[in-house]
Amino acid sequence: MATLAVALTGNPNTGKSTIFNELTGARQKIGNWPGVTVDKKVGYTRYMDRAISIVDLPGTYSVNARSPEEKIVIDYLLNTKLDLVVDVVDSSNIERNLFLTVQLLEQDIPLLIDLNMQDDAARRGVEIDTAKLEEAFGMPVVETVGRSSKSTKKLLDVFTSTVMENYEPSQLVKDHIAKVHAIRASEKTDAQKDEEIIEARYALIDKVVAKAVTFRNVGATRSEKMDRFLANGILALPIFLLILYAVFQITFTWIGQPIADALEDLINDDFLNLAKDGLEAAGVADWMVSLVTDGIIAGVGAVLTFVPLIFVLFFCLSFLDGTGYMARIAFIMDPIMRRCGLTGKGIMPLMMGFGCGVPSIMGARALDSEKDRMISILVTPFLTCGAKLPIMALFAAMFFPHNAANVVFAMYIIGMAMAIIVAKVLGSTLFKAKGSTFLLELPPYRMPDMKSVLLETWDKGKGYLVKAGTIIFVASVLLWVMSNYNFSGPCEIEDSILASIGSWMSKLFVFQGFATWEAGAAVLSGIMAKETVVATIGVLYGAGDVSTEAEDAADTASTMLQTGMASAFTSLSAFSFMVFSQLYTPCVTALGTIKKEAGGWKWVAFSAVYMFVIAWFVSLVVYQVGRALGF
Amino acid sequence: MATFVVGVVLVIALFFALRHIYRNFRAGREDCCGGSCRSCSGHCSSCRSFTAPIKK
Repeated sequence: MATLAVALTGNPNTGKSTIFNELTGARQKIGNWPGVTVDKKVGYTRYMDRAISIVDLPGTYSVNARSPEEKIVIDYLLNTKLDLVVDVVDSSNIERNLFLTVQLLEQDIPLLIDLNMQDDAARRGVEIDTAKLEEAFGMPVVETVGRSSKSTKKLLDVFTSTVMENYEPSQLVKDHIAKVHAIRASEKTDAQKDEEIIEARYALIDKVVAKAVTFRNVGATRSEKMDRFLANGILALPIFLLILYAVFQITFTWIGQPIADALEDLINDDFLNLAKDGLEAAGVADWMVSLVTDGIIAGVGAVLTFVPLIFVLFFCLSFLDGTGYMARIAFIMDPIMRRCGLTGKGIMPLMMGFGCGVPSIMGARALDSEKDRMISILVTPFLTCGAKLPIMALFAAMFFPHNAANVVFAMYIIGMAMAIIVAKVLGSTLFKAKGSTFLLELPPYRMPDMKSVLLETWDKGKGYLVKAGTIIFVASVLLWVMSNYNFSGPCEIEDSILASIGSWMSKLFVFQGFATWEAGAAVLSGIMAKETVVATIGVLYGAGDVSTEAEDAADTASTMLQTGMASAFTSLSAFSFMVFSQLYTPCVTALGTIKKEAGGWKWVAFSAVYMFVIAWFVSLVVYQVGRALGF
Repeated sequence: MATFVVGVVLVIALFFALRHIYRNFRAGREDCCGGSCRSCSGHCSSCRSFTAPIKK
């Protein structure tokens, strides 16, 4: 029997991705804000011995093919042979959602109307008579609540039935379609035709709603009451900063850091000593013992230590995303972004930059204007991605142990502030075109589904584990070789290839307070992947070859690292290094994505150079002002 | 002998790590994205055959 082809369509934020995940068991990202799915996703399932392919289309308000999402949806629906198209409708906003339903019916696309979010609708006093709605449209209607196995079964039952064969558009819909055709065939201007067609659609919706929907007055909803406080004009920004600050306290003080500390002890002391003793007892040559312990374990271990922080931070951000608060951030930031010539919509891809710059840069394509898109692409790498987090966490824990969360929070703020300032400058110099308007639907606050939050946390965080086992592993071996050899063979670390390269690089940082070859080498390696900065520091300072003083003072790898770093940095130069690391040239993958998205090597060169220059200048100011103030 | 065995293990591990990096590079994929098309919600560059066209 042939595979049943089903497509899910509907307005943004109606729960399509949740239904898709429930139906297919997939782990597609779910966000409680519109525009999470910017392309179509395909998943498969089996039910009643039928193979079913399900396509999750991007949320769209219309199918005029004016935006990429609209184009994807209409192209797919018109050019693909489908057995069933499910129009997922947010029951609590039924009037607005039916606008898309009517447009799809105009295209002769038979629909299964899925009245989703029935629970939200009930809370808002919206009661829908499904039998009357079926009669009004002539299309089958099912009621679902996104995350419910009953809903999933109900949908699958309909998919595998022949229910669609029994339906055809009602007379009301047929009359509407005839009217639309008549308007299109008339000799009016395009604008007049568009206006009349929109009026006709709303007239049909009014008739359907009058027949099938009852609205009870239930007063302000819980979300509206919460928004009076959380999205309040005066309090919104301080509350946002407070929430962000709480996230950092959870990550760096209360939960993440204690786990990271325990893991550090386990890797840098227990495991490292066990490996060293085991290899020595087995008679492995000294150089190989050094490669494994001082190179691989020190380098990979230095990065792995910070993975718990990444997981805790991603958990917090995924949780906030699930509550619906992320959409409020776009609303809150809109006035600030508008001053930079952007809109609050631009904050959406930027927020993704807290995870990884690559999806964030790609996410910018969802922005409506070329100006917004280019500015977003170019400023995103200023934000603190997950890979920069280990650098911040290492230096904050080492040099500011009592204020680690505050210092890391400050780095995030510096990154955001720099992104906003540069956006303003780019908006008034290179990209002067008018920005787009910004319409945002604030989704209701919801208690996030913990399963989805945990899955999303794992999906985002596991990438860093994979990187530790691949690119950081290779980098650690390479760094060990480069720090123990020169072109004549084995040598002291000060005469190594890495020391030569680092020394050359370090000349650039004389005024920033970290003109050591180790810091120069770390900065250079960070262009490969930002975590490599920590791996380099782990290999160079954790190896015990940095200075005799450091080696004498240290009895374990952890203390070796601490002593080595303490001899190379002061608190001020460490802060200056953190600022530089926060702002300088993006990693090669991000640069590759910039090339693809911005459309040329010139933007890669521009990003690499201008970010390095800004980082150099800001870290210089930080160090010199700090010195002048007596730090 | 022990050095040789550890060396072989490291070379095999390096081979797999480099293969992963090379495959990522060829596919334009980034591990930070979440590792698979479904989890990155289409933003991962490995999904580019599906993703929305870039506006020019």
